[in-house]
Amino acid sequence: MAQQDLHWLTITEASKLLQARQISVAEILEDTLEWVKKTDPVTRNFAYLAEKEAREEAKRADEEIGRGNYRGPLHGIPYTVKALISVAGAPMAWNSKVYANWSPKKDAEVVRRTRNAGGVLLGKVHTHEFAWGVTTPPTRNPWDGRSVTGGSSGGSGSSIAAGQGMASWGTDCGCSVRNPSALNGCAGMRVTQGRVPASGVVPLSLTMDTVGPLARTVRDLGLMLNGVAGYDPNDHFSADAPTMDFTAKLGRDIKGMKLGVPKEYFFDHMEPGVKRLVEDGIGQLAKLGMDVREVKFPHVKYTAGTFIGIVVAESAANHDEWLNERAAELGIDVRNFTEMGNLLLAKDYIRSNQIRTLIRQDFLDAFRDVDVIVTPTVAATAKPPKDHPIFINVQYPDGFSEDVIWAYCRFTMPMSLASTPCCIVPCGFSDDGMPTALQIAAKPYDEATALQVGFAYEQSTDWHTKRPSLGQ
Amino acid sequence: MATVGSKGNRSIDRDTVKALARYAGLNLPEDRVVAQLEFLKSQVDFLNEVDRELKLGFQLDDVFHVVPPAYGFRNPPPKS
Repeated sequence: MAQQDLHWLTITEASKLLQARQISVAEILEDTLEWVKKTDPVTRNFAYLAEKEAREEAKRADEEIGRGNYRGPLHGIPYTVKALISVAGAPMAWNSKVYANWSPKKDAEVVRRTRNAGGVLLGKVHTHEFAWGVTTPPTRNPWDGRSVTGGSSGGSGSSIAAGQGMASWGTDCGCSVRNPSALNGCAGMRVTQGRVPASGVVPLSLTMDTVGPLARTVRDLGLMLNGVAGYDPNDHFSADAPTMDFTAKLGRDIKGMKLGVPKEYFFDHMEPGVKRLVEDGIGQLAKLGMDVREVKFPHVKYTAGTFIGIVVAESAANHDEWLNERAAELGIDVRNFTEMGNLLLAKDYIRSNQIRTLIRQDFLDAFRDVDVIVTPTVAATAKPPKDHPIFINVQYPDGFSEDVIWAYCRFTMPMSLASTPCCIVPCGFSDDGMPTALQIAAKPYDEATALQVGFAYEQSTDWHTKRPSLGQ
Repeated sequence: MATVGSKGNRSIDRDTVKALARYAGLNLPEDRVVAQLEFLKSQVDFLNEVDRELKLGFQLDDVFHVVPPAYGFRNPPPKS
C-alpha cells in the first residue's frame, strides 16, 4: 500500500500490518494527520485536534509493539470521539457557546478503555449542540462538501467517510450514530443500552442514550466493541453481566436465518432512490439465503409523539439550568426543546413511557419469529442547508414534506424506544449521488447477530470500499 | 360508577401562561411560552388520543390493567 493511502486502512487491515511490524503507528498517524489537515477545511469535523498527545501515544505504542507487547487489534489505531465524550484536559464545548471554555479533568470510561486497548486518540469531532439535532453545524458531508452530515454524531460519520481516523465513538439516543453512518456512507452500531459504558458522556436522554462505534467496516465495529464493552459501576444503566466476542459470528452462513420486514411505518414517505436501494439490499440478503417474512408493529405509528414526550422532559432535566441566564447562547432548536421540557407535565411523561412499553413489546413479539429486522435507516439522503443552517425541509413525491429532524430519525426512533441493537451498513448511492444504508436490528443484547447479517451483506457488495473524492 | 371524562384538557390563556412559566422557573417572553404550550397541547392531544385507543392507565371498568411505564425497565442481562 502506498504511503499516502494509510489513512484509508481499516482497523482489520492496519492491525495485521502493525502486529507484523510491517508498518509503524507513527507512520499511520503522520499520514492521517496530514490528511486531516488537507481535508478538514472542507469537512470541518474537528472540534479539537490532539496532535501533540496523539504523537506521544503513537510513540509509546511503537515502543510497546517493538518490545513484543502487542495489546490487540486497537493497538496503534487512530480514532476520534464525539465532542460530548470527556477527554481529560481537552476542550469540551459540546458544540455549544454555553460550555465554550470548559475542559473535563477525567476521561470518559469509553475513552479510558480505548486508551488501555492501545488506541491513539486523534481528537474530538463535532456533535450537534447537546446532541439535540441532526445537522451538526459546521460539519460538511465528504461526498459533496456541501450537505449536512446528519447527527448528532455528524462529525463522527463524516470523519470516518473522509478517512480522518479509522473509527469514532459516537452516541445514539434516537438516531445519532445511525443516521450519520447512513448519510456519510460508513458502518455504525447502536448497542443495547448497558453494553458500552456511558459514564463521562454528556446525557441527552438518560433512558435511551448509548455510546456506539462508527467505522469503515462491520468487522471494525466488532473490534471496537470488543475493546470497551462490559460493566461500568459508574453507569447506572450498565449491564452487570459478562460481555461477548462481537466478532464471533462474522463469516458464519446466514442461509436460513429469518429476516423480518415491517409492514407498517418503516417504508412510508421516502425518497424513491433511497427506498429502491433498501429494497435491493433486502433482496440481496434473500439471495444470500435469508428467509424474508413480514412482521407487524401495531404501535410503532405512535413513535414520534412518544419519543418527544420522553426526550424533551429528560433533556430539560439535564439542561434547564442554562435556560434563563444564557438562553440566547443556545441554538434555537435546543432552546425550543428545553423550554418545552420545562412545561411538560409529569403525567404526560409517564404516558409517553407507557406507550414506549407497548412499542418495545411489538419488537419483542416480532423477535419470536425472526432473527433480525431490516429497515431503511433514513427516509432521505443528506441535504445542503438552504435558508437556515439547522432547519431543512424534505419534499417527497407523495406530497408529504417534513424537516430533516424527522426524515433522519423517523425509522431509527422505534429501535431506541425498544432498546434493540442495530447495525448500519451502507447499501449504495441514491439518485443524487449521496449514500444511504440498511438498518439491521436484533433482539436486545444480540449485537452479534446484527453484526453477522451486516457483515454477510457487506461482504457481498462493494459499497464499503467506495471513497469520496476529497483532497484531489 | 363514574364515567370517563375528557382527560388532559389544557387551556392557553394569559393567566395560565404567566402562572405556569413562573412556576416552571422560566424567564421567557409570553409569546415564547405560548408557542411552546401550543406545541405541547398538540402533544397532549396526541397522548389523549392514544390513551383512549389503548387504555394506558387505570380504567374505571372491569379491566384492571395498567400498562407499565418503560423508564424503570432494564433489559435482562445476557446469561453468558
